[in-house]
Amino acid sequence: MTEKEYNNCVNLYADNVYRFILKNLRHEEDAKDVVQGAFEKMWLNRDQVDNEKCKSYLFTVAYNQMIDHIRKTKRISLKESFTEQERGSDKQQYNAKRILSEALNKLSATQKSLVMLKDYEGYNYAEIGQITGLNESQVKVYLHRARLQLREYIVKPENVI
Amino acid sequence: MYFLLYVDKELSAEERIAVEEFVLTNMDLKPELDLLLETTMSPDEIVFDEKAGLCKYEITENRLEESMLLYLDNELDASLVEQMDATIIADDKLKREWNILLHTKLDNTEKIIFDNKKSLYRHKKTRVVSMRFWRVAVAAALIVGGIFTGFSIFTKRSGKLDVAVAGKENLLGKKIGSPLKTIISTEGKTNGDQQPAGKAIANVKNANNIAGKYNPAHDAGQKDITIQKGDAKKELSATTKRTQPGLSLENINIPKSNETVSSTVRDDIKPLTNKNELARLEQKDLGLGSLVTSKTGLEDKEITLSTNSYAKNTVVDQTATETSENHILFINEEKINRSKMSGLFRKVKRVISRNANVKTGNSIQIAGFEIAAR
Repeated sequence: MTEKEYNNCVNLYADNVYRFILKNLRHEEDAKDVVQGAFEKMWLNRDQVDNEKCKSYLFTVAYNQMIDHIRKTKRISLKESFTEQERGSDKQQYNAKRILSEALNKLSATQKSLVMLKDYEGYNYAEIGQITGLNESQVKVYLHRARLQLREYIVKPENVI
Repeated sequence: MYFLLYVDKELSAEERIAVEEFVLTNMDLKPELDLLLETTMSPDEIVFDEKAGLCKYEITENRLEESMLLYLDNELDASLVEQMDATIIADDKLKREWNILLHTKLDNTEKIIFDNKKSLYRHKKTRVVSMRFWRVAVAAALIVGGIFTGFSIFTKRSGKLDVAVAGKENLLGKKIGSPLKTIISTEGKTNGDQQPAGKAIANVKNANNIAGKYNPAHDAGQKDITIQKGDAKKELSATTKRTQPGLSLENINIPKSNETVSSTVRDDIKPLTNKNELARLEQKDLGLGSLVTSKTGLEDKEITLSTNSYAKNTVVDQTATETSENHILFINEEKINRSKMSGLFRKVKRVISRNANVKTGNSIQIAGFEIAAR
């Protein structure tokens, strides 16, 4: 990976990685630290990183650093609302997002990561398995369980949209 | 026979034990049994790793939920998508379930901007050599000194004498033939009425043609003056003596043609306008840049060496021996003002001098122009 390719990778994927980490950690500064660490590691190992696989590499590193960070600090705390982005004008849509966000926070870190990698980044089971270090069957099972948990949460009477 | 059955595992357990005990009591038969055992083949472990591709998946009632989740994750086989769509549409309960599952899918259009990307950019460090002030000062001083030295050398050289008279032998020997050099050779024919040189022929030749056209075996009566333009310093400086007087005008032949050859010599020398003065010049050695106007026996033919810019750039030089009959007049062409205006002035001057038919001794000189007084 060249310097130009690296900087292009920053432009393309920094926001995605940040969103992925922020949604998991729910702490902006920690998320930024993880993103910095991920890109720093990719820069240091740029000779071994193929430009076509830089996104996957980046998410892998970020995911591992996030897991390490969670283990070290255990600083995950519920945060009702992330940003003003969620304060949409459409109340119903806002409620749907809020409820889904709450449901997501009920999941384990692994399940949450799997859901976000699937829905935000569009990775398939195999790619998610490479990033998270799970095999394809595990990804499939964990993800299906996560979906069903989300479903159970949003169909509760108090959360009916 | 029992050994073969033993190897093929066709014996019962008791029979196999009996065979093994028999071999132990008769050790000489053991190698034969081992040899037979080695002939058997054990199955290799070869795994077909594409079994999943061979598996068939059908949407059944008990697998509907899994199928819907796979469909939600875009992992459902393409051949089953249509079937799944049809199944969902056909069943209202499944349709409701599907709508709920759709709500569990995160919105990927949600944007969260990492606002500190500049901190992520990296640039390879390139080595920058800093140049301190004193180094810059030394470099500037060297450059200025070099320019000054070069300029002073250049000006010093330009002050040297540029007109040289060299002997014929010198001319031939050194092959002064730069394209920039022009030789004006006056070949004289003895004329008793006029100067000893008599008629003169002014020929302007290219220096390249000198060696070819010059005939060293020219008749003894002919005296040649060769005026060469160009910078021949390198070739001549070692062999010629600069500013040596001794240009004998008996060597100057009056031009035969109507061509007027104008050259210049120093400003402080008065023009010589008649043949008597030319004769006087024969006796007196000419210094650098003598202004000579030589008139031929023909009224309309003359050689005018008037004062102009050539004078300052012309060096009269003579060969080592004054007795030499051949002389070369070198004019430093670099120093000659070659601008368009000076060229125009020269042309105008030639036209005026021709039309005015200058007669020596009765001319009016205005700003370097000489007009004949009728």
